[in-house]
Amino acid sequence: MSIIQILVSSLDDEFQNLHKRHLLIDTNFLIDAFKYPTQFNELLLYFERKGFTLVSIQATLVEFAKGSKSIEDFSKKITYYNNIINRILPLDPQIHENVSDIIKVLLKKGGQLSYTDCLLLGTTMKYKDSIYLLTKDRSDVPISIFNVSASIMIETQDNNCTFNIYEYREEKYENILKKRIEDTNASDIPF
Amino acid sequence: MKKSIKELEEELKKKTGEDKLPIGGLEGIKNTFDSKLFLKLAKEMQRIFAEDEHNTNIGFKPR
Repeated sequence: MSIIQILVSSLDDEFQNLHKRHLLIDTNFLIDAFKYPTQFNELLLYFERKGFTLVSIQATLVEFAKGSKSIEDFSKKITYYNNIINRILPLDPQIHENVSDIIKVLLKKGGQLSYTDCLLLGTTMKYKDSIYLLTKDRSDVPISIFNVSASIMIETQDNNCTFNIYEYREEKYENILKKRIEDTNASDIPF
Repeated sequence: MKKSIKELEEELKKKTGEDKLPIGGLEGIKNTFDSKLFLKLAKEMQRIFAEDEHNTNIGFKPR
């Protein structure tokens, strides 16, 4: 059995409980996809077969396309991005408010998040009934608020990498929010 | 006739293909993945990113 068959056959188990059909894509997915095209081609075809659409935000396009040496290269990056991403979701005040709220409740745990990370988390919160966040396994996605709903193990010629599908859990966020308010009341901050 | 900055920006967007970016909400999205195009462009991306010695793209590093 080839590496790719192992990858795809194991996905059905992981994906059977995923009911939303939109995956919010992070920049690291776009980059690993061209590094390991055979594996990711299989994965992207799998998503298509299962009815998933891939969405993202403008910030990932900026991260992906910046630093191009020429307009020609820039254009090729746009075409590549456009082939994978089916829709770019516009940012709105609600997403910015979510970002503001999330860094308040995370405090120290949010220190490693980039602004793009924050926007992706805020977008996942906004579209909580429709979207999962798909990103490389990283320690800085706050699992105190986002559950790992599925993992995709990808064996490459260089190493193994894991992408996780995260789901926003509102009840977890609510609990942390309450705790922050209680802590604030207890500490009696002087101003 | 002299073009405005806005007109020049729009002209460049047409050249880069940014005018065709699918910006919008979640309604009515279709998966339009083109496998052959992906495999072709993936090779191009490898070349483009490899040639850029000063690439600071955050996606290459753990965040």
